[in-house]
Amino acid sequence: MKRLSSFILIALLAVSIAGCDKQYQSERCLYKAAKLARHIIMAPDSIPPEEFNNAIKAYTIIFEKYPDSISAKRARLSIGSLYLAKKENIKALEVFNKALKLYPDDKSICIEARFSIAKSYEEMASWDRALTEYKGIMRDYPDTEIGLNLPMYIMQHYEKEKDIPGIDNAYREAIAYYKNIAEKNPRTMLGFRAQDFIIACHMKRENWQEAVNSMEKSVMDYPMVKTIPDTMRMISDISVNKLKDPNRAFEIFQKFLTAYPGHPIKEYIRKGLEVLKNVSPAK
Amino acid sequence: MEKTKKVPLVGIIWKGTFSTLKSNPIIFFLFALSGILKLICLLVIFLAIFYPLSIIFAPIIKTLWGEMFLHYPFNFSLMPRLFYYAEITVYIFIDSLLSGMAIWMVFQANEGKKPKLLDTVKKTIPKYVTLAGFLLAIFLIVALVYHGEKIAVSKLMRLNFAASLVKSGALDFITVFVNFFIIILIEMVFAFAMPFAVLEDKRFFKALFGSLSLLKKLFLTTFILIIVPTLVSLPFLLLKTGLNTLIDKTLPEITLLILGLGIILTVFIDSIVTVSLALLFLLKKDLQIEKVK
Repeated sequence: MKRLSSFILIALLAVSIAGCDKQYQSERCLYKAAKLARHIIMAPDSIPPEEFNNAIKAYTIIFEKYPDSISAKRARLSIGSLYLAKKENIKALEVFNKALKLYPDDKSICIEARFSIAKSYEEMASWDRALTEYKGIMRDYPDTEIGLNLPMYIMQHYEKEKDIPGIDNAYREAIAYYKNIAEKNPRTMLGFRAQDFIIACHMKRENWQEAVNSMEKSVMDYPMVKTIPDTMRMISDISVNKLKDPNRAFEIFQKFLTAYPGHPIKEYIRKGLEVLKNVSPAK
Repeated sequence: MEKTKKVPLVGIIWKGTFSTLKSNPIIFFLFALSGILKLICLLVIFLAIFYPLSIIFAPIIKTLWGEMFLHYPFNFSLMPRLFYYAEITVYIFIDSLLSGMAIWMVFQANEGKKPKLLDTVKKTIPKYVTLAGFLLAIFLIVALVYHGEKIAVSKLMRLNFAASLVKSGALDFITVFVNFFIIILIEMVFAFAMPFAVLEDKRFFKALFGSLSLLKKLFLTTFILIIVPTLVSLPFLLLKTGLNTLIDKTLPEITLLILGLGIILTVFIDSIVTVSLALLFLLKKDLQIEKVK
């Protein structure tokens, strides 16, 4: 009995330790608020105002009760997202701008807030202001996931609008942006990602020649990445089916083998060469 | 034919099991001790992200699984895995000794003597390596079977039928049932290994062969004695499989509750299964002696 009561005492002590941890408590509140908000984000128009207000209140409590916590910052952004989902764009802008003002040193919060500000402008059909914001993010945070994805996002916007000069311009700017990152960050993950985006841009614009050229650069500069077999397969497929020039793939495969004779996928490349030999009438 | 003969035997064994546990609560205490240890492990896992335990555990969790698991609600999604590691450790290194001790105490009680803790420890300690070996072997076999099962499932995935089962989530539940029966079968193989090691001083392989030959004679009885109490844990296994859905419908803290209740349930199941198998072993031995006489 004594042992049982001391165990219960330890358990209660444990629960109280968890209860005293402010960061943990703020995270719990954030989770509960996010659960309330999930339905609103999914179907903002069919949610009764009371439910919407409850979600806002749940988030507000977090930054009132735990103002210095990480959850407080996330709660502010989440309130903005709720307003954005409800198409209350002015309110959303106010919240995101306040987050920017309050947490200027928190990089991830700033990127998210600025991206959401741009999104709010887009919702308000003010593409020019959104574009300025997007370009600002690209300039200030090129090494982030959002920063890397934005040129493609801008291209997609013009595609949706069927704005051909806009697409061409965005395409050129995107290539220049990614090339700049790739050149400034050689032999790094960021450099590789930028090179990958260059390939994606060319593929999107169906510029097959340039797509193969950039894939060649990618495999030669980053021979140890896991995606090498996939890239080699793409080089082969595009050269044969789109460029009608299997020799181009043959050249790249041979160049790769000469540069990296002991590469783990050398047998795979050799088999590819055999296949390409048969495809190419010249070989 | 066998069924009509054996089922009354099961009844006698269970009656004996409950009366042994009732008149010798110290036997149940051994299993409760294992349960308390597991509960402490669960508590430590829960508190691992809080100061002062976080000084030790936070860097480990961060390095092995990522920073997000130091925060709510992700700490609860890592909890079953961490608890599994702790449970296996207690199972192999502590439960082995406690189960051996319980078997010796059942023997003492069956002889009409009052089981004494110190004597039992003295009797069981020399057999610790063999006893831990049994549980390690069970763990390794189960792990090997699970690994094979994973490979089989990934191969089955190529079939449309299996892929649709995965999509519907049914495969997870089917796996729970399959695993349940696999564990029962493996437990049956080792059912009498511990009694042979503790009560007849048999070494690892001799005890295992002895267990197998006894199992051949008492297959159905052993099966019933193991499966009926263990069936109670099946709903918990199913709950653990659907834990993510359950968390979504309730709160992440439900993980702690399910794991905690699972421990308490295991204490009862283990005590009933171990004592009943020990009694069956002793009964069989008594019958053999009578036959010789």
